[in-house]
Amino acid sequence: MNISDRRRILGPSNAKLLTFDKSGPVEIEPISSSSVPNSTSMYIENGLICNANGSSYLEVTGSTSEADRTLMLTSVYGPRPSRGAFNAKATLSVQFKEVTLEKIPAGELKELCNFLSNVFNAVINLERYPKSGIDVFLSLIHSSNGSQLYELESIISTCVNGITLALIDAGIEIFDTVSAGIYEKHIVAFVKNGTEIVGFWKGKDSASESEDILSIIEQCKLDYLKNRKAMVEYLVRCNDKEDHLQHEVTKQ
Amino acid sequence: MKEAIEIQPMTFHPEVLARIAPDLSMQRHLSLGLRPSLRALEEFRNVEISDGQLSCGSQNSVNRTGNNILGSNVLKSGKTMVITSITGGVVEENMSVHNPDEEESPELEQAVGAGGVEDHGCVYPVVEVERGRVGAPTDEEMNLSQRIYNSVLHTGLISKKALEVSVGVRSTNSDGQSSVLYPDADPSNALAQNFKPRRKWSYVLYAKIQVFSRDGPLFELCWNSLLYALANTQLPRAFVDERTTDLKIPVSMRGRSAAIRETFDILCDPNEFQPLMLSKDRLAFASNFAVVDIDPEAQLPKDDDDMQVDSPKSVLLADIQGEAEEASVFSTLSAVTDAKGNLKHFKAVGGGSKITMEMIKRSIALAKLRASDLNKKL
Amino acid sequence: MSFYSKDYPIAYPGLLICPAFELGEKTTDSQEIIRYIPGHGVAEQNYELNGHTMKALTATLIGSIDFEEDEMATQTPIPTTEASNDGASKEGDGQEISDNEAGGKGERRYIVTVKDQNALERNVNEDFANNLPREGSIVLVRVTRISLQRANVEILAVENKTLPKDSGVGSNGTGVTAAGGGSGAATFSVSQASSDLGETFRGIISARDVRATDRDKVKIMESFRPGDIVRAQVISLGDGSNYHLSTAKNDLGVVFARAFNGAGGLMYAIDWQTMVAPSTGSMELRKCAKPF
Repeated sequence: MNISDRRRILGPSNAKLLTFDKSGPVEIEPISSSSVPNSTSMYIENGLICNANGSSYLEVTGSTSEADRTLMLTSVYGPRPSRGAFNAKATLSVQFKEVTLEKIPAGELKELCNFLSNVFNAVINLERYPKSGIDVFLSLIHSSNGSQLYELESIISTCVNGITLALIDAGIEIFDTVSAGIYEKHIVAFVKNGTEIVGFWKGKDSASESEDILSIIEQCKLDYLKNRKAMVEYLVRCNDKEDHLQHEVTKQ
Repeated sequence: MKEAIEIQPMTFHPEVLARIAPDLSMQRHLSLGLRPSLRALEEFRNVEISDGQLSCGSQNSVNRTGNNILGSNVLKSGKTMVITSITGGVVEENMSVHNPDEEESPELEQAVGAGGVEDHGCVYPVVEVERGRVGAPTDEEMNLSQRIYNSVLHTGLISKKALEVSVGVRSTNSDGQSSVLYPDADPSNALAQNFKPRRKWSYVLYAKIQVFSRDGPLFELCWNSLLYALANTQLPRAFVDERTTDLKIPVSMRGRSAAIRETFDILCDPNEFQPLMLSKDRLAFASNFAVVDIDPEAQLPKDDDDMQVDSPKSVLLADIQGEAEEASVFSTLSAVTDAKGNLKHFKAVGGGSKITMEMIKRSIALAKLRASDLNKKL
Repeated sequence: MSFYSKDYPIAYPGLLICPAFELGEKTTDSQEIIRYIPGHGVAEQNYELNGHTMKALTATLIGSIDFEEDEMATQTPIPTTEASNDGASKEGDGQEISDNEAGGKGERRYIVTVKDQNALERNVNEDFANNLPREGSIVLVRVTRISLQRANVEILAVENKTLPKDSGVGSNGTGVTAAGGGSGAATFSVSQASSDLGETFRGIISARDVRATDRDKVKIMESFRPGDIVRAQVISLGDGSNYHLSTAKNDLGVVFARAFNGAGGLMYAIDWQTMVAPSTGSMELRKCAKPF
C-alpha cells in the first residue's frame, strides 16, 4: 500500500484491510488427521506455462490435514543472454512471488531465494551455458498452514522440488534430481540418494534446540527419499507415456 | 531467370518460419482457410473456469483461517491461465448529512438517478503478467488495469449500495457470552439503530489478476475472469464491539504525536457471509477480434487462377492467439457485451487493415453469441 | 557383462549410468579397458563407495541413454578434446590411464549421451537450452542495425533446431503488435531507459565476414538491410554481449527480405547479390544465400 506507487491502481488510501474476528469459534474445524493417512501427497504437472522454457506445478497436501495445502507454480526462463562482461558460466537467479495473498515479508523472501539459489548453484551444470543467465520464478498460488499467518518452512521443500522439476522440464542439465525433506521445521536438501547435502535450513522457532543434528538429517532423509521417488516416478512415467503415444503414431 | 524466381529458396519447418517470418506464416495459413493455431477463422478457444477453492467464503474452501480472499476464479483459455483473487477492505465514507432518516434515503437515491457514475462502485485491479521479469509493471499491465477499472466503473456492474457495510454490534452479556446483532436481522434493536446513522462504511474491493502463459491479448480474459470472480464473491458481515461505540481514545501515533482517534475497529465475522450483489442486467462478457488483409503475393498457388477473383481482401478472426497472429495483426476489435447485445465497451484499433461496417456488425453478433455462452458458465 | 551392452530404463537427472572405466575382455598378454566419456546430457561425478572415491557417469537430463563407440579415438590413448567441453578434467585422467597402460592398446571408448527420444522424432527441437549457439552452428538472425563496419543482428533460431520459447513476439519479445496489444520492447519509447524486455542473443556480422572474396570492397549497405532474415554461421562466441557471425559461404546470406526497407513485398534472389520483388520488379542489392 505504498502511496507513491503511481503505476498501479491502489484504491483509497484510508481504506483498512478486513480483519477477521479471531475471538469467536471457527465453525469449520480442520478435518481430523486420522481420516488422512499420515503422509504428504503430491500432485505434479509439468509444462503448464508456454512462454517459459520449462515449468512445473506442484500441489502438496500436508500430513496433518486435508486443509494444509501448498500450490506452487515454478517457471524457468533461459538460458538467456547476459549483459556485460563475458561469463564462462551461467548465472542463476531465483525470484519468489505470492500470487494471491501477500503475507510473507520481503526480507524473508530474499533470504529464501538466496537459500534456493545456493542449493541450485551446486546442482546445475552451469559450465554448459556460457554467457547466459537462468531465471527461476516461483509463484505461490496458495498455501494454507493452519492458524499461523505464514510459515516459510512448509513452503521451502515445495520450492526445491518444484524448481528441480521445472529445470528438468526446461532441459537444463542438473547433476541430480535434488529434493528436500522436512522434519519439524528443518529442511535438508539432498543429492546422490541422500549421501550428500546441498542445503540445510533450520527453522527459526523450533523447540528442538537440543536435538541431535544427525538425527534431524536422518528424519529429513526419509522424507527426501519419499519425495524423490514420487518425482522420479512422475518423470519416467510421463516420458514413457509420450514415448508410447509416439510409437503408436509411427505404427499407423 | 523465370524459373529461378519460382523456386522456393530452401525450406523451413513451420515453427521456424513462424518465428522468422510470422506474417508470411500467417498468410500461408490463411490461404488454406486456417489460422496458425489451426482454429477456424471465427472459432473461439474453449474457456474453463473454476473458483480454485481459494476464497474463505466459498463452500468448499481449502482453508478458512488466515485467509482473506473473498472471491476467486481460475480461468483457463487454451494454454493461458488467469488467476483472479478478490480481497477487501473497509473505508469510512465522508458523511455530510448528520441525520438522514430511513425513509429519506430511497428518495435520495431516486433523485440522483441510477445512471450516474457516482452511484457505481468499482474494484481496484492490479494485473500482473508473468513473463520472467521483475521490476516495475510494464505498460501492458498498466493499460490492462486501467481499462478494467474504467470498464467496471462505467458498466455499473456493482452499485455503491451493494458495497455498503451494514455494521452490526457485538454485545457481551454478563456471563461472557457475546452475540452480534445486525441491523437488518432485527430492525427494532435500539442499540444498532442508535449507532448506525453516525458512521457509514463501505467495502473496498481489490482484484489481483495474475496471468500465466501469455499467448495473445489479455483484456478479454482478465475481464471475464474478474467477472466470474466477482460473481462468487462473498462479503463478510462486519461488526463493531459494543464497548467501543462511544469511546474516543488518544492513540499515540509513531511514538511522538498523540491524536484523538475513535477506535472503531471493524471486525469481520469469519462465519457469516453475504454474496456480493451484482447488477444482473449489466453482466457482460468480452471477446476480441482481428482484421487481417490477405496479401495476394503470399498465397499458396491455387490450381485454377480464376478462383482468386472473388477471394476476400480481408478477413475477420475471432479470439487472437499466438505469436504469428499478434505479430501480423494491427487492426483489432474488442467488445464487451451481454447476450442481448447491450454493448458495455467497444474498442477498435485501426492500424493497417481497414475495418468495414460489416466486420463491426459481424463481430458484435459473434460477441453476443459468445457472451450468452459464457454466461451459462456462471 | 559390459555396461554399453546393457538395457537401460529412461534416464533422469542423477541416474547412475556406469563407471568411468571398466575392465573388458582379458587375454593372456593384455587387458582391455573400456572408457566411458560423458557427452550431451551426461556428467562425470565422484561417488564414494566403501570408502573409495570413484568416478561415475550420471545422467543430467531426462531421456534415453545412448552408447556410441568412438572409433576414431580407439587406438589413441590420449583423449581428444573434441569429445566434450569438460575436457579439462578428463585430460588428466586420460594421461593417467595411458601411463598405467604401458602397452597403449586395447582401449575402447564409448561416448555416453542422453537424448530426448521425443525430440528426435520431432523436426524442430524447442529445447533451446541445450542448443545454445556455439562455434560452427548455423543460425537464423534478423538484422537490427547496420553501420559501415558491421551489421548488428539478433539470433532468432539455431537453424531448424531451436526456438527459444521464452522470447516470443507478444509474450516477451521485441515484435510490434497492435496498439495496446502487447508489451514488447518496441512499445517502450526511446526516451525511456532501455527495457529489459525482449532480450535475445545478439550477434555482429563485420564487413570482412560478409563474403569470402573481395573482402575489402564489401559495403554493408549493399549486403543487408534492417529487418532482413539472414542465415549465418557462428565464428566465435565473441564478447559478453555479441556473438561473431559470418556469411562468407555460398549458402549463407539473406533468405527473406522485403523491398524498400520492409515497406514493399517479399523479394526473391535472382543471383548471389541481387533480389527482385516480383510484384513491382524492383531490384535491390543483398548478399543472398544460395536458394537451393
